[in-house]
Amino acid sequence: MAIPISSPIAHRPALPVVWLSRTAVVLFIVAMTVASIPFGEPPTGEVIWATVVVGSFVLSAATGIAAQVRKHRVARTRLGYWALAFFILSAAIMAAAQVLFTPGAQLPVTPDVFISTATYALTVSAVLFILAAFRADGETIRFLPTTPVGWWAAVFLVVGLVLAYSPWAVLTPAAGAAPALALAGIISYRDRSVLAAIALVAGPAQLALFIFTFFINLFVLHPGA
Amino acid sequence: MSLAITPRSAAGRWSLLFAGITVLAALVAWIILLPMMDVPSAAWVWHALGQACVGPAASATALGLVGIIHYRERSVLTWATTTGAFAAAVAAGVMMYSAVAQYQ
Repeated sequence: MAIPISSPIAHRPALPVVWLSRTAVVLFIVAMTVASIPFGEPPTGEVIWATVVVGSFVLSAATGIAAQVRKHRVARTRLGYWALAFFILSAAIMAAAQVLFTPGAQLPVTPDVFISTATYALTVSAVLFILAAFRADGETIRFLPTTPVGWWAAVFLVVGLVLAYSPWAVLTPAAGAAPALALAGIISYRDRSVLAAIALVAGPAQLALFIFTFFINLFVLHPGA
Repeated sequence: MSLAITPRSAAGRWSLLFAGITVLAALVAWIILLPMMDVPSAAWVWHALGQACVGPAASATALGLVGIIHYRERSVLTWATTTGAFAAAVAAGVMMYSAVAQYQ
């Protein structure tokens, strides 16, 4: 018979993993929804919109990472370290863009090149972190989706990529169904595939980084302004 | 025959969530855009309205279809919201495309 032992360690009030995960999902949906809604009269409308979107994306990522770190103690896996490396790379590219593109600088490339590259690095980082979370749960990771919802998410991802470079590029926001389908697949149907993870973060990472750049430039003094 | 009202599958419930988000997003966008309806750039105002709700509408449609096709979802609410969301997505797409069609 076990004798109850009173622990000498003080009880720390901790945020439960489920609460953190659910907050991350809710904030992710909020960020994606507000990103598509037009902003009101500038400048207050722009600032509110950009703050809500960037804040929601950042807090969503933070709570998601915190949930995984708390669930698995510390995510000290190879995949986790590679995710961190690509995140630092993305931040470094963004910082370089801010430094290089001072007013009056003549460069052979536009800032979009830097921001797009940073987007790809951020996408890779997010996908690797999600895969690290899958592996820490002890799940087998496949490349192709394992559930019908995951397959539909992959289809919408491809449709979005094709639309973006077609004459109907204005309809690309309809491919915002890919992150929604991937969310349902990963959360409700335990889809643990690489394509589902990519469908979840590819579009939102690009959106988040471009709006983040817009957000920074709201507070940077422009010559002649 | 018993007819289910509320969704029985997870996909159906997710579809309902995104249908609600579609309505909310369209409402907020409409409120924000109403003061701008009179200016000559009104075509772009309609485009912005479409862009606000096409994402959640497409999500609700796709999730509802996945539930109906793959998970034997047969509830009244899912059928209704899937068709409604499909109509909303098509309408939003038409609104968005009509703003740029003259430039194609």
